[in-house]
Amino acid sequence: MLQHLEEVYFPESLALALEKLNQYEGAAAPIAGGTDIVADPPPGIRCLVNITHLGLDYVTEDETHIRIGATTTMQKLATSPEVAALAGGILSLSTCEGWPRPIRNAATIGGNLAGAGPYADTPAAMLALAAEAVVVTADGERTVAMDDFFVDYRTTAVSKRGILKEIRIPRSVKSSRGIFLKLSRTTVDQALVNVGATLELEDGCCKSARIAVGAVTRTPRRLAEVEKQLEGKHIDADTIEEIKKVVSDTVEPMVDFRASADYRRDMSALLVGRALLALGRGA
Amino acid sequence: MKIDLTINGSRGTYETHPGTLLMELLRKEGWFSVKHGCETGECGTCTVLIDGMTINSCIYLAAQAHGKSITTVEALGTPENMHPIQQAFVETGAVQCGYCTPAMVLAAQELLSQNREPTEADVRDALTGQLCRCTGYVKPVEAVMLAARRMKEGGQGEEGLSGNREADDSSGRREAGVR
Repeated sequence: MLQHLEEVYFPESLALALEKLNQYEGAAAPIAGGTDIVADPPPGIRCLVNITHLGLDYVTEDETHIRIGATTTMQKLATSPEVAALAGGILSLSTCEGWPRPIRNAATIGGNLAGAGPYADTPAAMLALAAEAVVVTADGERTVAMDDFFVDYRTTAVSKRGILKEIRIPRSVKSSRGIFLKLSRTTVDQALVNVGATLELEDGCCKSARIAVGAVTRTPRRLAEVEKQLEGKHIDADTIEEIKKVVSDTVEPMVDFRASADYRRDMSALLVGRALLALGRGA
Repeated sequence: MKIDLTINGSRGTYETHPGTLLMELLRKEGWFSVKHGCETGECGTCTVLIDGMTINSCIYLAAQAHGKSITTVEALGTPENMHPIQQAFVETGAVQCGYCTPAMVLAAQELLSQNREPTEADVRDALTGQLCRCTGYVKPVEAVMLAARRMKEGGQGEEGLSGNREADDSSGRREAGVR
């Protein structure tokens, strides 16, 4: 509950937003769509800083990166042709699979990443896309690789005094094969397991792979051992069986009311297998 | 804190606690079509239109709506002069207890204001966030399809509500790999 909230602040600039976050010494947080922070607010929040008026709602492309503003809504991403054309539509899929329209209209990509909820869908896609986060604090702006972004449950590199401003995806992954898969109990439930995967193939063999899982471990993460084992392999039935075993052996799933660790382990292997099957098709 | 809202066409300034949910404020102001359901954004019965787009008002602060225009189903039609969507819900029998109906009508309104020729898949996607615990979804989907045909024939898709007129495919849904 937000009964201790003293203020909702509408800053006119990022600098003013950061000033306010500092003033409350950790008891303030940015808000955009609010679907996460209003439904499940962090304890002790006294101020919310509304960052939806700061011009951070965009999808653009420069010479090196596709750049997505942090307050871009899921609906905008789900219907953006640029995003649909990116690596097999991996990011589009992660913004609309199981997201009801009223949630997509409010929820933002920044909130889904910086909220660091363990069940979020876009982190697995962003990890597979080798994305970077642009984080601003009073000390200035810095770029953090997605691999270093998720620190722990509900904790990211943004910290309590920073704001996630932008996500950058290297243009080099645009032509990769990519897929996002999600398993949930009902269409609109949170994920039991989600998988984001991109592959670069050369002569039918895997040149490089980025495979990430969400909702399985405490923070979304890439499966380094799986990626290593995939390198140089032809994506066929034998490889997929082999890789599924690597997933089972290396993933360390959490337990919650939705699923046991064993179930998550099995389903992680199954989904990674399905992702590879889909990505290897026609190779 | 003070917030400025336009509710169903009337502009006003409201004095409220910063943590007040939009759903709470609307009900306090007498807009009872906005239901208090799950409080977690799952059931959809608190759905309202903000600048023409559906949101769950139970996980949206009244303060977030500052400066925006809110539409509830009270603004759509009257019992004597129903909106084509409402008329279609009545004729199709897409109503049982009625608890979820205002939200379904608003979800349909958002869809039809952006997409005059929705497919059944578009309609199902638009209604995804609206749970019905009695009659199910077959009749509501039929009702929205009927309303879409009539509004297109009658040229009524563009009238009335202010809001987002962005041309998009209103769907966002893609082929699912898992399901």
